[in-house]
Amino acid sequence: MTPAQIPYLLGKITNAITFKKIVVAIIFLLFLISSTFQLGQVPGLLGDEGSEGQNIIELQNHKKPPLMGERSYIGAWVDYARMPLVYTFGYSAFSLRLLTLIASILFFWLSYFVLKRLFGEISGLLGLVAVSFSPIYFTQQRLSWAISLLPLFAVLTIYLYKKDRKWSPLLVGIAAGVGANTHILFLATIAGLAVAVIPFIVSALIKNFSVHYLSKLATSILLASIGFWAAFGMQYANLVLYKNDQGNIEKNARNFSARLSDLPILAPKFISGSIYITSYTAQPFSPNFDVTTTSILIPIIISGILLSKKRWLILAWILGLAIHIVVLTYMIEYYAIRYFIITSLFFWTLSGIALGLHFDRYKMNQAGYIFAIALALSLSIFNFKNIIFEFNVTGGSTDNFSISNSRYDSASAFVSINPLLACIADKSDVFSNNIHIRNRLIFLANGNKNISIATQKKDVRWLVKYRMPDDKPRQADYCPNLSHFSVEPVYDSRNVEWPDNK
Amino acid sequence: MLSLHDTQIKALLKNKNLPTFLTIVVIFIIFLFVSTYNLGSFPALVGDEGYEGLSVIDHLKNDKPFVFGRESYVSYWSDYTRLPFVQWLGPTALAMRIPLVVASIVTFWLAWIVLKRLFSDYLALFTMVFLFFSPQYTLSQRISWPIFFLPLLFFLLLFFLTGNSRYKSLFSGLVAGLGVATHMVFIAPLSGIVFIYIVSQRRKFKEFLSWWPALVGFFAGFGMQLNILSTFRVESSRVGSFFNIGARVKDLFLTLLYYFSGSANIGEYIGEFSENWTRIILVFIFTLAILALILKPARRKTWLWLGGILITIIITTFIANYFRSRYLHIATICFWGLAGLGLGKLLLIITKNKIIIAILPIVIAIVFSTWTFIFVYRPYTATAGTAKFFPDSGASWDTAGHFSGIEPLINCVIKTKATVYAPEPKILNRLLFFHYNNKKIGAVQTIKKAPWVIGYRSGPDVTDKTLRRKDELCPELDNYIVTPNSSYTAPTPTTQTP
Repeated sequence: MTPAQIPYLLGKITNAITFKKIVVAIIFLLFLISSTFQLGQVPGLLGDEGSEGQNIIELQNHKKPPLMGERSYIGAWVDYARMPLVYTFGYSAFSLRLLTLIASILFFWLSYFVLKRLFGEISGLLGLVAVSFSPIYFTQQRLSWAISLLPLFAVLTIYLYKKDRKWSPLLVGIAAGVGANTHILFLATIAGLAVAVIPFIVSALIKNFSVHYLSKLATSILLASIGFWAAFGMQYANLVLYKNDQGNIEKNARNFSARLSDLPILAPKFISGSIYITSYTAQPFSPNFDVTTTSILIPIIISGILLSKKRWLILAWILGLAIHIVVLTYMIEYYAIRYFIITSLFFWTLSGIALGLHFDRYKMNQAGYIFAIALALSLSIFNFKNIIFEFNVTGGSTDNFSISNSRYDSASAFVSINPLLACIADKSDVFSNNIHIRNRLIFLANGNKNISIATQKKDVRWLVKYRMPDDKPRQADYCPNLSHFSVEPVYDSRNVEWPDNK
Repeated sequence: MLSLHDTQIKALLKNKNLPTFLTIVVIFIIFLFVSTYNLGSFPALVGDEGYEGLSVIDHLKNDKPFVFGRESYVSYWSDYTRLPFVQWLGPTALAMRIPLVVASIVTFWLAWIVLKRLFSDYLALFTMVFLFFSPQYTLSQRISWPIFFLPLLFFLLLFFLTGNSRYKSLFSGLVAGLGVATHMVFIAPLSGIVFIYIVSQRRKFKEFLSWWPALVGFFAGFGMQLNILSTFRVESSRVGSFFNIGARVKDLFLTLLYYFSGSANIGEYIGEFSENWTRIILVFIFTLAILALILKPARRKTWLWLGGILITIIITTFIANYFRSRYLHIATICFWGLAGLGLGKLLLIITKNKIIIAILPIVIAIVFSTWTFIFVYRPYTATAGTAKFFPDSGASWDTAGHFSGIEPLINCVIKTKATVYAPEPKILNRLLFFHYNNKKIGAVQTIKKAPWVIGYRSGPDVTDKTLRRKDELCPELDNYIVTPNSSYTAPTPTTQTP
């Protein structure tokens, strides 16, 4: 490049930079900050993350079949993908969560392209902002659970479906298959997506009915099936061979109607996202918050449907969402908030799209872009204030919170573990009867020589427990100033509940 | 009235390839007859078929995960092809073999299409006849082992590779994956095909990356089996071990002679095979194979065909822990196909008469079938097999007992109401398979529970009945011996308290 070419290149770059691109870049920057801020600290390493992390080590040490994930319904590929990250950045929550971060960035751009293509520039952008800055996304998509990768595969499947290329059906099948391989609950999303596209396929079939079209359709289905099986077949063997961790399928089916009847009570909590924030802090939002948020989002969606020329597309999506919820509710044993991430995110996406349709309809593009930045900023501030800053003050909570009338969950899974690690740094033969605490300690001990986990029941000297909010430190406790954990000396090994290796 | 049917016949009559078409139809009829003649009794249920049958029964009773076949390196799908027949006809050799015959019929027509694409119609006829009427094919393709589904997948793979499908790469990969899932040994012919395909398509090598869908297809076919293989390694370690590779290489030459002559396959049925015939067959097929390589037309393709066979043999030597004729089945029948190609090329030089060239393959098919009938079928049916030992590779001997008729033994067990056990699993598995439908067969799986044990009779007492032991249960049995079990523990009688 000669110096004379520099002004020409600069001119070219300046021309390429448009207002739209600047807006998207700002939104992406905000998204990046939201996604990476204190990624390794907020929340603390989860017990389930520790368990998935431990699976990486077991696979590495050939202690289990090489294609077996943490569970029979979780694909091993996730562990293999985390392996280089853990070995590069150490045994920490941050390393484990890097994979989710990478998936998150891919999700952002794929969603942008998909939504823009389907609903137009402003609607697409607002849909993107609504989904990727929602409290649901903010709280859940920084956790290193296999299930956190599912939104990526949902949007990837749609993205590939919209590409009209020779191998697109095969790629759609692969994306759906990898999703189902990652976590079996993705089958509910596949069911929803399949039902959402059926009206369009049938309509196209009626319009272009011919042997050639039928044959093309059949070939596409065949290719998609082959792609799906290529990605999922391996995992399917695990599902058939190891059924012990899949709960009682018959009992689940029997309780399906009970779970369905709980759904209307739960829906506002899931739609508003309050339950996801509560999982960090155990501070429940008032029912008014849920009702208000839901009653803002739903009218926005309805108005969008009424206003838009793409109302059939939105209705098809809603139909897909309904099927997704029914299938998901059938598959699960109980309500856990992580199961409903896609459901909740979908509501927020639809609200954003519907909001954007108003801008599109009245051709207020500039205002739409500015609104998108404002929305992203507002949601970020809300998330930082109510989640990050709140968590940093308290380090989480071990209190319980209500999910439904019959089910409570504990926020203890999310509490910060760093004070505990500092406390037990000079203690030998630590153990915990609580599997979630134990999983975290075992995983972290791999890269931290200061953590000494007992390998035999008789060796256990210190027992770590959760300290509930009402519990007072006892005199014998080590580190009585710990807020969420207690470290107690073991005088009698009968108090140690050694796990059954079988 | 001139119907559409008549028009088609007229069009057919105008077809210059009509002699070829008629010939292949006649050959197919002969093939069908040979493939199905006494299917259920020639041979009697083979030892490993009993094992396969037990796997089918386990699936019928939901006693095993349905993704699991007989072994970790054998796919479950072949069990499911037999399942409806076993349910319908009961546990019999015939029920087990029907799917294989269906596969064999499909293989026949696939091979016809593939060979026509690769060589001319007339050359394809000769190749077909040698391939499908070779003693190896005739004798093997009626035994219900998953490994004998491989010729179907082999020709299906060639069908896709030589065709013009838009999705050629994906379907080829899928068939390759299904083949390896069906039996691990398919890796060998697959390597041969891949190598030859790359060599023959060398100008398009740059397009290598465009073949990525083949990998997807392969995983669709093999992914699930790969998981089972990696989970149950004890069984799968039998395949793919480099242990003793030196001995196998040393053993290879003699082994190939046994396999190419068909003497190992014939030995399985009748326990012995004439050395003179072995020599005659070897000279015959090697001469024709050499002619195929020397003579035009399609000389390059013929060399590539041979290259594929050689690669298959080399890879099999690496991945199989020991030689069995079935492991080299595809290589063997393809070598016979090569010989057929040689004869076809030779005849094209000698005569251009289409009628002679069209009739001759039929004659060869009849000659080969008759030869097998006289030298294998008749001796086998005369004695219901034998338990003699025969060389099943250059370095090992096996008993033909696994192929011998088990009905006399079953009749003995039922008649005497004896409870029996066989330390040889290939006897016990057959008894247990039949036991599923006939509870009068008192076969048990623990030696201590059986007052009688069964073995093969392979000593001088086969012919000299005076040498047979006095304490035998059924001394009239020629291929089996049932003797008292010294380690039998009689059950302790239980007393009932009022």
